[in-house]
Amino acid sequence: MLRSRATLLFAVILLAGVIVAFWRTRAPLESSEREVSGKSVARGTSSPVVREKVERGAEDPVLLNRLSEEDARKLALLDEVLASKNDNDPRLDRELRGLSDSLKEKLREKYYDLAPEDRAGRGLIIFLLGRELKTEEDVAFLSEVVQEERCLSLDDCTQAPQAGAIDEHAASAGSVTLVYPQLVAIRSFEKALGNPALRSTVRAALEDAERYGPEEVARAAREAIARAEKNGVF
Amino acid sequence: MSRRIGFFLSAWACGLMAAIDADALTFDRNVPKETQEQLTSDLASLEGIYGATASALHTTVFGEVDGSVYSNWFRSRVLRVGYDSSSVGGAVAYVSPFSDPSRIVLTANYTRFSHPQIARLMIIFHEARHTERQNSYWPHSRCPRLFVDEAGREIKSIWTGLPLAGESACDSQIGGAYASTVIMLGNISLYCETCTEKVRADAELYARDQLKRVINREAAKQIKEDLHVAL
Ligand SMILES: [Zn+2]
Repeated sequence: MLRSRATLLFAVILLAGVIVAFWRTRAPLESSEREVSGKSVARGTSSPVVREKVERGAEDPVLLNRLSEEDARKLALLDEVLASKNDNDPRLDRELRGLSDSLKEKLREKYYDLAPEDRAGRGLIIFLLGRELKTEEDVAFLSEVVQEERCLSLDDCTQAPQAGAIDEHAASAGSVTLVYPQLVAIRSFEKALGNPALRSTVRAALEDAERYGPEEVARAAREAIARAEKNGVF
Repeated sequence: MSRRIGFFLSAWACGLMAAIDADALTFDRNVPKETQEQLTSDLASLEGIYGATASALHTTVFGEVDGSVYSNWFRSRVLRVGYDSSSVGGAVAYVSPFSDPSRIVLTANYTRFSHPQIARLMIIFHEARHTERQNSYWPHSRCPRLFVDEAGREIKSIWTGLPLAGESACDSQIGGAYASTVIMLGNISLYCETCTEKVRADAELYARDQLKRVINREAAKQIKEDLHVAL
């Protein structure tokens, strides 16, 4: 009797041990999953392209954003140019070309890490990605940017200025800057029409921009299509 | 005697050139360091521009596509830089032609708004055009009641969504402040050999947009021809 009780007690302790061990190995995995999705939420991106990559990144070492030394150097250079606000830095053309897939991925994330009001910074990233459109995924990301909700004010993208609060003469540059990343993307599409391998994808992206983009972006897309038609690209 | 006069004249001319080149731009005391540095850095970047070709209109308004030419053009018009801590109205810079025509006032938005560099330069060159007393400061025209783009759609303010018709934010003259910056940016876009691809692309983007504000058909046509319809 006593022996069978001791056996039962041993079995209960063993089972408890197994449960604790299982819980301890499982817990960090769950918290890292929360971290990944938290990261996505914190960045405030609705980007399907980036979100899908962040989720897949948990398994894919390339997408874990382990950048090579070369990529890390390019990223540091980009940060330097962003801080200097000097768009005529020749290193933009000399060194920030030939972006690897990992670096492109990092730049897509960086785009959403920058505040929406940082129109010039976001536009610079789109410029770098846009001049190296090679795959449908490259086009998809820019297409997503083109269809973003429009930034309403350079002070705060979520707040439209009140009627009469804007000096239309002095604030004229805003008509480009407010949609600057989008217009840079449209221009990149227009240039990519020259690439027969991407032409139909890019044309579809321009047509989507015309259909679904904010008014000013739709106008730019329409004008780009008209220029291409006039030049016999299609 | 005449040699002595010649010496004094050349000394005066040299002194004047030096003043234009180095000492012309002075900042009011209240201009924040960050704003001073941004303007200085933008102008320094501009000085690196060079292109062997310039369009006819560009040659008339500015001269060659050359950083030192732009710099002298700007510094011979703008002698002082003031500061307005207000950021109301979306203005980045302004000139008060009738009270202080050689002073450009930068607002807090010069560093606060995230305009690309070529847009900041476009804005200050636009304002510099308004310093020209001999040209009545290049006044703007009211945008016409029927203010439409080439596709016949009404041009509205991107800020408010309201029509721009009736706003004093258009140009009828080919030398006006909007028109002249279109010519400048169009040339940078077409001919600058020392510019990055991004500066040239941005110049095209802003020039194309500002050209919509040139409402005199003949003036717009001349600009398009001058820039080989690049816009
Ligand atoms: Zn003006």
